[in-house]
Amino acid sequence: MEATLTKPSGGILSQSIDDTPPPTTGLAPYTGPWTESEVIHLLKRALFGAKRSDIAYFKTLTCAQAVDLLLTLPPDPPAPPVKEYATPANATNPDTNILQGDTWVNDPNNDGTVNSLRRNSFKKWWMGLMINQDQNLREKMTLFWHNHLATESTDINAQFLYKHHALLRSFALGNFKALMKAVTIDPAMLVYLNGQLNQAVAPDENYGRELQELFCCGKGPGSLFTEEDVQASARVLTGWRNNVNTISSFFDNNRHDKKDKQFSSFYNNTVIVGKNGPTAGEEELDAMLDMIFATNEVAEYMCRRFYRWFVYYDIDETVENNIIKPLAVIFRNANYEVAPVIRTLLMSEHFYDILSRGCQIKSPVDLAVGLCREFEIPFEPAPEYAINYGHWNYLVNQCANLQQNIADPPDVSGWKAYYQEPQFYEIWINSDTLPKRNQFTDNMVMNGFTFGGKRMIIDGAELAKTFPNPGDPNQLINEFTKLMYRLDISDTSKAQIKKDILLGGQSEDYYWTNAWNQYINNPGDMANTTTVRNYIRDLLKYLMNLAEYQLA
Amino acid sequence: MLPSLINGMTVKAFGAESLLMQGLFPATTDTDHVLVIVQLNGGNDGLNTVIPIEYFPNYIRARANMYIPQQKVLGLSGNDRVGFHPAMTGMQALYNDGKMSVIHSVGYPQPNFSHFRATDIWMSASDSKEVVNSGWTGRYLNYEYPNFPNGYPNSSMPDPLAIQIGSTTSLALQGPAVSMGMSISNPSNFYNLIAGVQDPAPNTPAGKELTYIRKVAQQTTAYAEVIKTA
Repeated sequence: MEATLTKPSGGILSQSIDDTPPPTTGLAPYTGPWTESEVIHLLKRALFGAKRSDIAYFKTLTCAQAVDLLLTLPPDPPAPPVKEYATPANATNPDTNILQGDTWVNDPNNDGTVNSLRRNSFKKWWMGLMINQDQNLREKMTLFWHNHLATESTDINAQFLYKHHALLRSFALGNFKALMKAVTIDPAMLVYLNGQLNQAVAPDENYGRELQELFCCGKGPGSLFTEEDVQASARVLTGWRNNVNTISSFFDNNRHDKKDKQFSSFYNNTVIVGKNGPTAGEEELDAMLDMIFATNEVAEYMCRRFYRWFVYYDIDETVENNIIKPLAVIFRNANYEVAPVIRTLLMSEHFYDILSRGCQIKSPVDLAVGLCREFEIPFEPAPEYAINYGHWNYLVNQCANLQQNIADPPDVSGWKAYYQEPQFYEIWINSDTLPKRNQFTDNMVMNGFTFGGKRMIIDGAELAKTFPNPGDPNQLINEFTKLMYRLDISDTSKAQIKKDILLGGQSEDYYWTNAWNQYINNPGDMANTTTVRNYIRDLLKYLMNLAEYQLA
Repeated sequence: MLPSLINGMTVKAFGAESLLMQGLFPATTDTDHVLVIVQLNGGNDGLNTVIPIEYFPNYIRARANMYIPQQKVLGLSGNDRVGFHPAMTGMQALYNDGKMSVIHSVGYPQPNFSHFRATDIWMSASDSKEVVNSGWTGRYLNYEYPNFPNGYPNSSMPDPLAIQIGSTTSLALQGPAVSMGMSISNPSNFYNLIAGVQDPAPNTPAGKELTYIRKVAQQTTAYAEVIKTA
């Protein structure tokens, strides 16, 4: 059956859509048609936005080849963030040793103002990586891990912040258990959840609790760890400290609790034998992670997290049985390698089910980064990093304004859109943020943002030149709606939009065709060029203001 | 959703406190008036709409094969110089009741015959040889409210400066920097508010989320209540 995205007729706005169960299909590989609709669905979920060049390329692949390409990450990490700020005159520890354009990530510095500037530099850099992402899952998964293992940059010095981020990035599609070991003793996490203060004489339960409640086991009905387990885990983790000068953590055996740690029946009454010596902390941590990862709950909890990140938030009994539980078996059998799980999910008939499409409300990052990518906004070559950072900074701030401040989620639980029952993604949209989203998209198409003499703006007319037949107003509108919407608007609406916007109220298509041809053949006709460019600008502004644009 | 309310016409309303409104209406009635501009897109034959009775032989020459015979022209009370096209009985009644005025000879030198360009010239009130990116109403409102939209709405100006009905950003309302119309309005919530018409949402998870966003949009418009009242 052709699985194109069409709408049943008969609904009206006021209808009650309380009972829209998620699809009942399972994890069997999808074998249906591989058209633009399926490709766009995959790309919008695996990347930030679906660029036309990516759509064209992925369409030449099979579904399996497409997913495998997305799972193929570049071997090397990206170049680190650079200094693009002026060393503050009032800094007690100025970083004048770092030149403009050189990275600061290996230069220890605890000056508050310098750190603040570096944190901003980091955020801009990260935004740039998302915008310049290649055809793979690295950026979507890096943001996933940031949401899942959330820290707030304001609590952490910039060098630790970068190191932490680089760790998440390196594990984008890596081994989850190995990631949990690394992040447990990661300097930023040791600061953020007080691990560096956790010692035998004064245990701190903060990290031990979140390790189980948020990072590994969750709060589902099957997650039955106890308060005593929290306390025991905190004692296992005693002794880890940070060294700000070497930008690293280390184990201090003197601070370690060397007694045995007794866990509950949820963990099979495991006793972690107290160790003494320089490797005691790591040995006990390994033993505790073996214990935690022996439960079924870890894989099931994480598969729910993956599902809500890539598919939809509504996990009913059918999805739990058809998707989550079998996916969790794959996760466990793969010894917690993430790639096989994502591969199975993104290749499944469930993922391509018509009911799985178009139902994600874009996160602010998805909105902003997807907008830049789908409208192919050009950025400067690498030597113009200062201008690029200025533009990316605007996008960072816009996302923050829309309630997704990268590197600064609300708390250790991450963004509410991914866990807060029953609204989930809908939390992104409220009477404050929706007008701000519209203002953001209005500005990106009307005025843009200028920094360092360069304007970052959507140029719809330039993009339209690459369309098959932009002189046909019907095809022009269809190309844009295909790029922007997962739920298409009706032919009636398109006809009205065409008439009101592209035809200036007229009914004959040749008004647009003639204007477009003149624009191409005689761009020096400024009056006509202005008209054509403004009409496309107005078309995009209008289309981005419709609710359909908020869905992915 | 149907993006245009009245067959694609653009309709705009101005607040009563503007100088323009105060100039147009006596001071005793200046508290609650709204200026409505109805822009009819497309061509109209002015000579066959408001027919120059006083120059009838010239009119016949100009419209040799399509002039309206003088006996069919609708007469206007107190005005023997012009009359209306026979179809305009409603406007004739308005005129005779003193509720309508006609402004003659509005135009500009060297008219441009491109539909798009001519529309822009009308909206921007520019000369036919210059391209102006702001509209005449937008420039006027920018003069009256130079800081808009910063600080609006406020207690002295709780209403939107201008509302536009129509799917596109009207050049007429474009100020030097920002649109002086309802710049934050989402067209869908605006039309829902007025007409309650839009594309149906499918009975799927995507349709559920679409409906949710539309509901927020309807509740969102900062000026929703004053627009409803208007």
